[in-house]
Amino acid sequence: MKKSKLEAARSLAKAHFAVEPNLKRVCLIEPLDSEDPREPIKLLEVVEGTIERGIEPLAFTADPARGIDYPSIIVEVSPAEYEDIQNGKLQFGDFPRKRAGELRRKRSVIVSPKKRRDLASKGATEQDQAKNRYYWTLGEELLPRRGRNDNAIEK
Amino acid sequence: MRSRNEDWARSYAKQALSDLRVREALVRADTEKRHRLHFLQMAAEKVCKAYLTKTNGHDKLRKSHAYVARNLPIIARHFYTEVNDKNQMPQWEISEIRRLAHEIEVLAPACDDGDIRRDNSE
Repeated sequence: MKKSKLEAARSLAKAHFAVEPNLKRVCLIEPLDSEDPREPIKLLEVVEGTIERGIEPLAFTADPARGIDYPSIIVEVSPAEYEDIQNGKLQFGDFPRKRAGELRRKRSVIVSPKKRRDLASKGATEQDQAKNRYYWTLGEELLPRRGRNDNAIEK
Repeated sequence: MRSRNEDWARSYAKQALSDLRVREALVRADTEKRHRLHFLQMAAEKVCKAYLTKTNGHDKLRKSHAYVARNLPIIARHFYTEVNDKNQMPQWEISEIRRLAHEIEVLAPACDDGDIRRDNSE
């Protein structure tokens, strides 16, 4: 059975922890958008020793054969960059909005008239929803923090 | 017609594969090491550009060769990740990939690691 998007995000974080000894934290980037399977799981990964070059998201397609049911986006940052994100010095930038523009053009064909009516009845246009959807914010931490010399995931 | 980011990403991926094939042909022909390394560096850089273009857009790519050291280990880690506790890649391998990715990046003459690494594929 296909996992929920949040469960899949946790599994992916756990799998990355298992192979990356320098991975210290994994946080969800919201919105998760559980209802749309095309919307990628977005993870912020804090890796000690990574080269500091700001926010450079990498996109990966879903790969159900390897247990990865959803597309994903990984943003890797150093511990110092993570602190900068938390205190607002480093931001996710404008690429989510730019990407929203591309997807909106695709979705204008995909969204059914019924869906449009439903959205309108809720007082939100599709554009409004898409705009909010692509304003990324830092979400919950998916797995506990690992200490500098601790390679085991804390229980 | 203007190319979309997905078209750019696919093109970078195809060029990366082509560079890798040339590198293998050079290995078989026993050419000088620097030529083989040059194509290895170009293949690695284009793989990273393919993944970055898909999310960031082609016009956001920096005019730089410094993509490999940071991004190749992330791509490798994701590529070898198996969910459901079936991870077969030992941790030392990802550490080694990180070290090799840095070595591949400094093969580009423009990437000298802050003037520390003058050795490159030229």
